[in-house]
Amino acid sequence: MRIVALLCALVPLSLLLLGFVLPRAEAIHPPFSPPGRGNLLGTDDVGQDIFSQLASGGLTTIGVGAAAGVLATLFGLLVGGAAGYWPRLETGLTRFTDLILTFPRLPLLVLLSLYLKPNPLNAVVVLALFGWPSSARTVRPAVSGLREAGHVQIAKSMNASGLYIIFRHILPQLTPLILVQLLLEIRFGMVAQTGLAFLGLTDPSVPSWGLMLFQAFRHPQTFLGPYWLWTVLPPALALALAVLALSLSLLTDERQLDPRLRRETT
Amino acid sequence: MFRFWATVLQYLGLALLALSLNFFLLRLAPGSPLSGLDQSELDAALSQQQEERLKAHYGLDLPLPVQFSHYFLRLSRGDLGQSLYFNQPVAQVVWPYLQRTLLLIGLGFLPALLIGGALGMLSALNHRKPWERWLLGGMVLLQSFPPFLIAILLLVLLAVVFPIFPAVSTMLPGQGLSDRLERMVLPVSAYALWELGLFYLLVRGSFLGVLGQEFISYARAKGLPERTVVLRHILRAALPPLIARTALILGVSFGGVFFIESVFSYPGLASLALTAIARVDYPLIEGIFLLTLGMILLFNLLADLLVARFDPRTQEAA
Repeated sequence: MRIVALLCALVPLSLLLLGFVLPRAEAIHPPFSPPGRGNLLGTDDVGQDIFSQLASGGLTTIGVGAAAGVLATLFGLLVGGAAGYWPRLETGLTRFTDLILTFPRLPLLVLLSLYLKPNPLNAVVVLALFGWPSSARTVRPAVSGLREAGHVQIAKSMNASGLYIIFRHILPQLTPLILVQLLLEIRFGMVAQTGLAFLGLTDPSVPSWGLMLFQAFRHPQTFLGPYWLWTVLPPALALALAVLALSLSLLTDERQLDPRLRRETT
Repeated sequence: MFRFWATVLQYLGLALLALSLNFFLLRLAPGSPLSGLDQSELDAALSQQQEERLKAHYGLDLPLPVQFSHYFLRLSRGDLGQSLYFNQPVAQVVWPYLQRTLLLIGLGFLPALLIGGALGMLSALNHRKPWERWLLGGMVLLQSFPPFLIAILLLVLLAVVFPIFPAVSTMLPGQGLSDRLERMVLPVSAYALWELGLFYLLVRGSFLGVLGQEFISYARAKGLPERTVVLRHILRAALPPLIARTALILGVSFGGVFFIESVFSYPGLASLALTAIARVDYPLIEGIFLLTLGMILLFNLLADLLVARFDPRTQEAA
């Protein structure tokens, strides 16, 4: 399972790396030319090279997803850790977390991206702003379970500060849990960014996989000829592979995490 | 009873928060509500006096809190405002589109629930068999796919490579029923496929949780036939949390169906929203999002109330 996940991750990750190196796609080629010499994956309706779009698009999509995922998880750790460690904060913070969690994320993202400037930075901020509650909710009970543990009590008796104990002595024990949460958040961030771009709600000058899909779907000829083969399939498959890679590694991780599931595999 | 009102009150608070978010976001956004243009273009088009008269007409010269209370009072009368592009009341514009979205969800939801539920049940009862693990893996992957990706792959497969169904689901006035139904097949199946994995995992998890408990072993030890054990003991214990989760998923699906609709150009709320966005029709945008958020919150509230009603365990805890 691990190997399959790695194989799936190979394509999006190499696209990400190429995104740093390759120049941005420019409309200098004949439009809708099929894959072959000159353009490895052909060109789109305005004559931009698909492959370089795919590479720089991967940089946006994976970059936004990863940044949003890391930020959301970090913020969730902070809130969840504080709520789990200090009993006085527990009720209030839990209520607040549940409140934000009840808000439907996707429609809200669409709404917010209408009103904010559609650049990647804002996408990261909005995604992180509504992504943290799920990791806070996962971490809190685990932290409060470790609150009374021996090594925590010893650290406390040596006058260590609360935040120090949380980040140095409690959270490292929850690494697998946090890793799963991080992967989930990254996956959601990538999917949400692609979704927004697919609806045409992101900056049209910043290439991303969703934008490629949006432009392909907007063009009336895409599905009338063989054009969808190289305008629709590559970005769709790139995203599919990225999602698959994350989901498969989640699957293996969850098996190791949950003792009930672990018994299942042996 | 106290719990009931506390839950309702919490959701009223959430709804109020959604309302104010909707209101203040629009006012904080750059550009003027009069034109959607920036200030310099506005100055070129209107004289100072004209601009002020227009602002007074729409109540835009009032302080924000007053505007907010006006907005709130207007909404409480069920008045969503006037669409600028269609030049009709928003509620009137939205209604047919909302009906079509509800139809799409309704048609896809039931098969997904039944098939996903049945597979999940089978899976839980055949726990640890090799085929069950493959099924589980497949469903986990299916469930992790975003709805628009499922829709795009389905479109490519069943409308382009094998042109069995029409790729575009636009509805025209002259179409017969069979034509309309044919055009709904792909969006409905994309939606159903997306939900299928979710229901499968839910039912499987819920069943497995019950299966490991002592009263099931006891029922089996009594020599009850397997059918009775499954129907009367497992199902009965597994069902209450499932009902609530189902309501929750129904609420969430309003978000996912948005993307599926736009893949197939299905004339539901999503395409209306995209039109409204393209025409900078703020009252219509506001109306659609209030409706969507309201729908989701309503289903969440339903889920919370159902849990309280059907699951005795939560009542003890309260």
